Amino acid sequence: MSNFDMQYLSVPLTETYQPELVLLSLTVIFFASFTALTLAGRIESSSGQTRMGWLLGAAIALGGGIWSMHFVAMLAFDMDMPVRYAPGLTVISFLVAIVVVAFGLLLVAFRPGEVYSLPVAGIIAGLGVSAMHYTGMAAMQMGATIQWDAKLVALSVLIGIAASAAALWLSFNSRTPGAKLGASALMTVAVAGMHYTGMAAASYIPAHGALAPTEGASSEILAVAVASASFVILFLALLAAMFDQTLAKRAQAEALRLRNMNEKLEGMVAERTIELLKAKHVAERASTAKTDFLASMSHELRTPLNAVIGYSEILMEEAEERDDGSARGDLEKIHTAGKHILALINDILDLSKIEAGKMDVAVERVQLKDLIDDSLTVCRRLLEDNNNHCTVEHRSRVTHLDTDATKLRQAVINLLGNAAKFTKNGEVSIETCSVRRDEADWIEIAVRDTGIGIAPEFQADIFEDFHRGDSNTARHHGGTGLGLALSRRLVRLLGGDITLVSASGKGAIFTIAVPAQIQNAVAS
Amino acid sequence: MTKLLIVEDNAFNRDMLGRRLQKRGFDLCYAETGEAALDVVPREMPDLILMDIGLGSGIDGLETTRRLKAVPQTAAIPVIALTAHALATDRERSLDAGCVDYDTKPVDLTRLLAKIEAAFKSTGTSKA
Repeated sequence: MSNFDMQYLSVPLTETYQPELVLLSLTVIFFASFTALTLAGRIESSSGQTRMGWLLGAAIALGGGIWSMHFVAMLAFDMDMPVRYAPGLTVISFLVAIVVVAFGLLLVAFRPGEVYSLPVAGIIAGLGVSAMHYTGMAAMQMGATIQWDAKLVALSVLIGIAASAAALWLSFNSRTPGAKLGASALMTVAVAGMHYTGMAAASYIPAHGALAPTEGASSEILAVAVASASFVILFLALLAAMFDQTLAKRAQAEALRLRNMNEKLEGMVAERTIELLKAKHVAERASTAKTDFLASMSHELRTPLNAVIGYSEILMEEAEERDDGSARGDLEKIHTAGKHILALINDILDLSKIEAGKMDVAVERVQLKDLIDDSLTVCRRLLEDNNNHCTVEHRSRVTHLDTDATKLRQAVINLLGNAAKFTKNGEVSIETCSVRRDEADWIEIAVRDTGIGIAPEFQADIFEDFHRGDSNTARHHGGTGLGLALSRRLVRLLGGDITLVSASGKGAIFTIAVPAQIQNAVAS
Repeated sequence: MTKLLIVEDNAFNRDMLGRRLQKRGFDLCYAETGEAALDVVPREMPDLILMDIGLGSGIDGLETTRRLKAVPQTAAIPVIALTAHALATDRERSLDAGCVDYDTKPVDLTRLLAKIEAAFKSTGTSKA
């Protein structure tokens, strides 16, 4: 044995590291981890093929990064012996890294809810890093054998597992940039820690009579491979960064758009509010103007109407004296038309006053019986014209009311007038009764007739302005179409209401219900 | 014969109401303005005055009524206010001015005759 041989046999080879390459190896894995975590972050928010794409990208970035880190570290490793690498195992080690990382990510990303997934993924990733590392080591071809320190080998695997699990946990539980950096650092610790511990576990004993390897990839080729893998990682990182930027830009644009829209909307709301206030003001002024206009109109219309009705009455009387039937008939038509216009004017004026809130309620004490008698007196003629029999029944135990008698009387007259108009050769009856409601006395005045009645389909609208059941009825019976609308408004002004029970052809019952004491009702 | 004074600025209404009341046996005299009424009343001494409230020019019917009520010679003559206004406040204002009753135009002759009769009854000034 030569001295040379002896040296090879007895002493392990001197192992040194080139510090700048070690640093580079750490940079590579950190950068790869960061890229991989960025890509992995997209897995959750995407679906289908895109999801698989991000997962594959993350796996290639991390797996490639681990692989690159390993071989950069191997280049940093220097012993006094040429080393070449078996191409097959080198490629396998690359694939092992990617496949195992992909599997680990798959487990964490797709089953995030399951408790075991994280430790299992950590173990898989750690084992993957280790498998890659030792496959890579096996690819070494040199004139030396490797002796392993079992404890350090185990430690290297443990570091790989623990740090991988921690990195995965951090990356999937926090989305902040800080957490991503932390997770990348942890992943760097996992891979580099595993690698350098694994390297420390190995001692290289020169083989007896061993020759320098001639086959396999040289360090130069390895360098190219590492550069390529790094380039892929860089490319992926760039892709992710660009995507991030696009997303950020889009988000920013969206935020800006939303803010603009919001400001625009606020502006529009403010503008619209001002417009509405203006419109309200204008409407209120218009309403007052309308009431004033109607009041003066009614005056201006009544004066000539007074003449029309009055002179037609004079002429009617004179025609009667002359026994001129044809003239009397025509004059009667003029008289009726004049009265109709008058009724319209009165009703419209009353309605507009109620609507403008200008109808004052003048409370006075009135005997219920007197109020009914007064109403009947006004309608007596109309009742007799249609040959109706009229009855009154007072069942109210309350004898007087404190209310606006004029308005209540007007409502009763309207109902009585309707009953008289729509009933021929029939019965019209008035019934009064008193009821206790909400600890107050209420008077009910029911006007019942045996006339044509109101079909159910018309009952809902019968209290609306200018509504008169069907149009045939309207033509046949005349009237302003405002009587019921006005009556209901008047009764409501007194705190009560009017209800209707009827069927077509079976007559109708309109019931006025008002509080006997208007103040009590208003107070309650 | 019972004498009525119609204070009314509108010629149609004056003529029409006058003719119809005449037919029913009343003696009529007329005034076109409030001022004219103040001049006519002491001279004619009507039994009742039908007073239009909204007179075209000069003092209105309410003021005319107040002035008639302020003079002892004419204070006892009942005044029925007639107005084309259908506002509730007109009624109060008329009664406040000293009118015994109030009616709206166009005149319902039956109703007006009832009011005239009632006015005579309540004041006891009827000659009829």
